[in-house]
Amino acid sequence: MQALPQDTDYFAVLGLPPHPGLDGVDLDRRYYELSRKLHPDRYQTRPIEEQRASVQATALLNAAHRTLRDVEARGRYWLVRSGDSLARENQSVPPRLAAYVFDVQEKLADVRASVNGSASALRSELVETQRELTERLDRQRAMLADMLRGWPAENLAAGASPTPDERRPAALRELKNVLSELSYLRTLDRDLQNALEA
Amino acid sequence: MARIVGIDLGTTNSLVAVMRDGRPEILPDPHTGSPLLPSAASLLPDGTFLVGESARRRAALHPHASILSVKRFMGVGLEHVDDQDRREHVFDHGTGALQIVLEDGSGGTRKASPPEVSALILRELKRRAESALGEEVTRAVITVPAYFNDSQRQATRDAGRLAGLDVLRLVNEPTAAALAYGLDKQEEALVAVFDLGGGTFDVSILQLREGLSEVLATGGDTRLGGDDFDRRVIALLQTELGGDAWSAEDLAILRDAAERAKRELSGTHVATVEVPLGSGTRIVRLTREAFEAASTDLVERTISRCRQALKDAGKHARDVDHVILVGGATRTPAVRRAVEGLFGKAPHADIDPDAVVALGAAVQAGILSGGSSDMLLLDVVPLSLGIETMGGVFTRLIDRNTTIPAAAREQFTTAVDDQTHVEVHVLQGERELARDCRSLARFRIPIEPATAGLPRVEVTFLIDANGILSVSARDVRTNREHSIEVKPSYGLTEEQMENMLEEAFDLAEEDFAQRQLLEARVEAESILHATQKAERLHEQLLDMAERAIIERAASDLREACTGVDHNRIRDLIEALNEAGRPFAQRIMDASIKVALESKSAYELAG
Repeated sequence: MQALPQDTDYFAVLGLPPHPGLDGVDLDRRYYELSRKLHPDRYQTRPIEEQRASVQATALLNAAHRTLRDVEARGRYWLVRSGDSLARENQSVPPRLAAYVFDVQEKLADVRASVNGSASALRSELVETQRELTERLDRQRAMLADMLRGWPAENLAAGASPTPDERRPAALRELKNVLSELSYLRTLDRDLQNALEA
Repeated sequence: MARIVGIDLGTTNSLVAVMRDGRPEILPDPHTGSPLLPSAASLLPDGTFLVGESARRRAALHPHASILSVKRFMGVGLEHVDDQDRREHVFDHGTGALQIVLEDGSGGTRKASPPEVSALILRELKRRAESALGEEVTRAVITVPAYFNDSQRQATRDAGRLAGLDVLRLVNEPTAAALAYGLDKQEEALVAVFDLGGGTFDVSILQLREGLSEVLATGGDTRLGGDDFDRRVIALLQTELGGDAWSAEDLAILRDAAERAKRELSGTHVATVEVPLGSGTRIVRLTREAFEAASTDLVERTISRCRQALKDAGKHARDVDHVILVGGATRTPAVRRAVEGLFGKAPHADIDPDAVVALGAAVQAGILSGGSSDMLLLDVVPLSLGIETMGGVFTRLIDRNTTIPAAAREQFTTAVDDQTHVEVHVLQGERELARDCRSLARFRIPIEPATAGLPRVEVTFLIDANGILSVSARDVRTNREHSIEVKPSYGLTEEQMENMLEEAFDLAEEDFAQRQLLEARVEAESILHATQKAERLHEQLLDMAERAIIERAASDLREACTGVDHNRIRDLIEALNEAGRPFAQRIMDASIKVALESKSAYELAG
């Protein structure tokens, strides 16, 4: 087995300008077009080296499409591409969520400690909390999508010297915050789900 | 270039199809014209196997020499065989791979692995195709349930290889069904494929767009199918018949009767079935209502799997543009009603639900032959893949429903100082803990000893267009790499495979007349047996003269069976049938009379 090409840029794979907003881009159409060209089914009757290359290229194309089509995956990818990343074991509560998280966790603790009598009232409260959380997740994703759409453009003009945009480091910090909040909210959602199913 | 055939290797029935003049076409049995080949095999005393219809019929008399639903056992371990199956078959797990122990009828036994048995069926289909096409067939596309895991897919490829077929592609059955309907030609459509076959249930949500078909999600149950509905009917029959001691022979007869009753109930509200038990022929009436009441939970299960698949696909039932029915069990009205209820639209059922998957396999075979160039299937992995990490945690590298081919690479490190190697344990499943997932492979990679946390081991997964996984691991510092093609834990070893291939080719070309003869003899055996039984049970309905005629015909047939002329045996079977026809009619009349009498007695008592 061959190694995949290292550090291949997902935007480049799909032939797109490197901007996380993907404004006006029909990502799916682009993906289908390339699939038609690269897919192993097209290479069944070709030499084995071409077949292998086709598998590698399509795997990369699939990964690029899967990552870019989802706003959160795309945000994370953009962060990594910009030389940063969310720490894998990042368990500390994002500051802006502290009050909310405390509130939800208290409710969870109540349910865990409850005896049968009060359980059903607490349960319906938990269901309501989960509904609220789902809305919050949706809002957070919408916020992320907006942020990526308005991302300061890189200076790509040929021959121009790259002029670091003043706003970019701040934007990157904010992207990281929004992503880690999103990740934390999802963990919370899973905890709620588990508590409801228990 | 030689043609590529499409094969639906089903739990209950199998079919083969091919593209002809741009259209997929089932290749039926050249002698009987039947499109279906029952996926049945039966071991004969001389050590050879009967396959197909004759094997299915022989199973009623020789259940322990026969296998009816071998697909259930493909690529699974002994622990996945349920009680029902254990009652029907003896299993052996001595050598690692599961084997079924069959009685040869002369006191001995023979072990057969599920891929070997499936290979018998595939070889029969290969023969069928060769006789219809007049050319050698060596390449095939075979369909598998979308839910099949890696071991099961590998076992299917093994079966193909044993049958002398190069398996170019395994296609998910529901995906094949969408191809057969030509839905891929739609501008854009969301399609749900509801496939309730003999032994498996699959639901797939497909997105079709501009000639591309993409599986968004799959779900289902490898242990839910028409057989389960049959079992419910068997239970109803048993209640109606009373008694609790059922011989293997009686159970086989009940299973036949249940299948007939179920089929009849698809068209009518009351079915009357004849059950020729060892203790006498009985007539039982079953209502559709009773059948539906007894199988509500089964229908419910299919619907709840549909909801899960929709959820995985991120779609609502109302988003679905087309619903396709696949599998004989979708003829059951309660199933159709439930499907229509869920999706709010009538499902497609214009193509024979038994044939639709094979036809789609032929379409995909056409794509791979380069015949049609504007279609392309994009498939997904059915289950997440990953490795075991510290604390027995399952760490995913490739998520369920990722489009294939797919690749993923991650770096891992050590937990203990001076480790000389790391173990890579490859797993498949959706659970958080490694012990709850299915183990696919384990291998060790030597590393340069160092303080815990310092070594870097890069693990790469690559899944090809057939869903077959290869895994490699590399010590980043030394650049030493170990890679394996994942050998599923329940699959066959290369050595077992080689041995079987040799055996297979030794046995392969028994000639066609020989098979005709064997099949004719089996049929003769079964009609002689039935005749004898009827004579014993219904002595009072038979006069001396008629008995003499039947006995003469029976003894002629017995004599012919010692010979080798299958046409003569066939003729004498027909003669015996003819001689016994008035007798059979009287038995039937008498049974109906008894049934009616017992009913009126019951009504009077009530």
